[in-house]
Amino acid sequence: MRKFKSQVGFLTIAQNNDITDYLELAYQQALNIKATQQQHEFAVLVDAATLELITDRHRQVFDHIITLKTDWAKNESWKMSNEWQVFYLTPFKETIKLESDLLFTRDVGHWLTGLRLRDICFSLYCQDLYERQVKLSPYRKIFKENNLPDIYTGMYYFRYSQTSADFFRTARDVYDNWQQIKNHLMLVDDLPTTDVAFAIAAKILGQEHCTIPSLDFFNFVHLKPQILGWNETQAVTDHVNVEWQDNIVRINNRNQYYPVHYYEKRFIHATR
Amino acid sequence: MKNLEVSEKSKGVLIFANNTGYIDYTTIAQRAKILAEHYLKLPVTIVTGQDLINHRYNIDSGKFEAWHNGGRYLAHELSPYDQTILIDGDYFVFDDNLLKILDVVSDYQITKTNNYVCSQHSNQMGQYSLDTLWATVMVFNKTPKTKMLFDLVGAIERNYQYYRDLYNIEARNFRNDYAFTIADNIINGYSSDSKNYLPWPIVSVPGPIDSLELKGSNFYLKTAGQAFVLPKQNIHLMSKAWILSDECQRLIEAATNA
Repeated sequence: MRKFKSQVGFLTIAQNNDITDYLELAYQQALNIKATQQQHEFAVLVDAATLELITDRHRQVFDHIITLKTDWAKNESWKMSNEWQVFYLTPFKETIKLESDLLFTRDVGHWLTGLRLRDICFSLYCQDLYERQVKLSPYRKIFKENNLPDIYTGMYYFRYSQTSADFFRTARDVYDNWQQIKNHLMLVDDLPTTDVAFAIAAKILGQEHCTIPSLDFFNFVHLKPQILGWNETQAVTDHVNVEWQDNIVRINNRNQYYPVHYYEKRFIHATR
Repeated sequence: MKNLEVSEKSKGVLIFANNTGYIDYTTIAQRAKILAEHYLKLPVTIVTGQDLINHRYNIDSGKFEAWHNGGRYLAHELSPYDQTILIDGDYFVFDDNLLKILDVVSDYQITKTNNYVCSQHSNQMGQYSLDTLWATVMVFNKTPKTKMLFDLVGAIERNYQYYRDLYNIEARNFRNDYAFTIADNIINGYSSDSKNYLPWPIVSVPGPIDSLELKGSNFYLKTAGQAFVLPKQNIHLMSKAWILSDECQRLIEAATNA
């Protein structure tokens, strides 16, 4: 029987690479969660190299620092193959898993009432700056071509349960057998993104077990350029006004009330 | 049963019209007035005398011409009605649907969607900007929130270059559509509220018109190289030359005598 540290908390993975200081993003995210959420326990999952970089400044903010026992992404520049491990390493009975480049602008504790209708729950679309649903975004041709569920893993919920265990075991198998699986898919990359690997797992297990289409509030704003209708090279911080008013971020003169997946890694330092 | 202790709210239509050296906007407004009076059975007031110096592209002449479109923010102050239907002079009313809005409007309702009959158009104020609201038609009650909205539109008109930069607006000339879009965004807490939008789109004919006739319950519209049959409905005619034509006069007579 697993022993958990707490009932509910937020978890992110921070594995630095040559380009991005994910530990710093996780630190900023933890500060943001402490400032915006009533239930604000925060855990970070790091590899051995990133663990070396953790200082007292981080320890003051991170409630739990967990080290990966085996690093499946050791040889990857964009380290995504450890995502399946969150189920086995989370210190929480119920986890809201976040990508580290996502910030909250208001408390979302009330979301749990809806999320608890499933053992594991992904959102089925993201939003643009104007709270418009974005389904099958220009980045998701692979989903359309392969008829995969259009789920987003930037923010999802799971709790300790048989369904979640089945899901993450399946996800692990997808990573483990990617070289065989990709031969049966169109438009695939050499390595699976988290969204694709988890979409395949959701398809195998049945997306009805891990999504709630009517739960439209469980969502985030995605700032990838093409989702905003822009060219790929056009960054938010270069093209529109970004203002902070307490915890609310106003982008292009629109207050953002949903979590903001800022994607552009210099977003915080460029705007605060 | 009618409550005789409560006075009936006054209702009416307001149209702004300011002549330029090129276009007789007061005649255009007079023509819109005839239709509004006929179909809505409401009094119509025409406001004139605003002199903001501006320019617009004339779709009939293909040239930029003088345009006095300022002062719309005064509608709240100048309207003699408790409930006002504010329309552009080139918005022709052919049914009584706007009366339904008077029953449900809280503060104001403005047009969210504009469907062009014969071409695609961007609904954004700029590539990096918000979707445009259309000041062509709006309905408002005289409430504190509506007063703030109109005051804000005035501030935006007076400081248009600042707001143009802030909102990444591509067009250089001041447009009431943009001013109301910005004011609506600000007054709703840098967000939007669907209750402030008219529940249906307006229909616009954006280019020159060869002919427009009303036969039974349909419009028969011909433009250069295209023809359309449209259900009889309110319609936004951007060709000022056609509105000032004898053919338009005949359409109005046919509609009001039917």
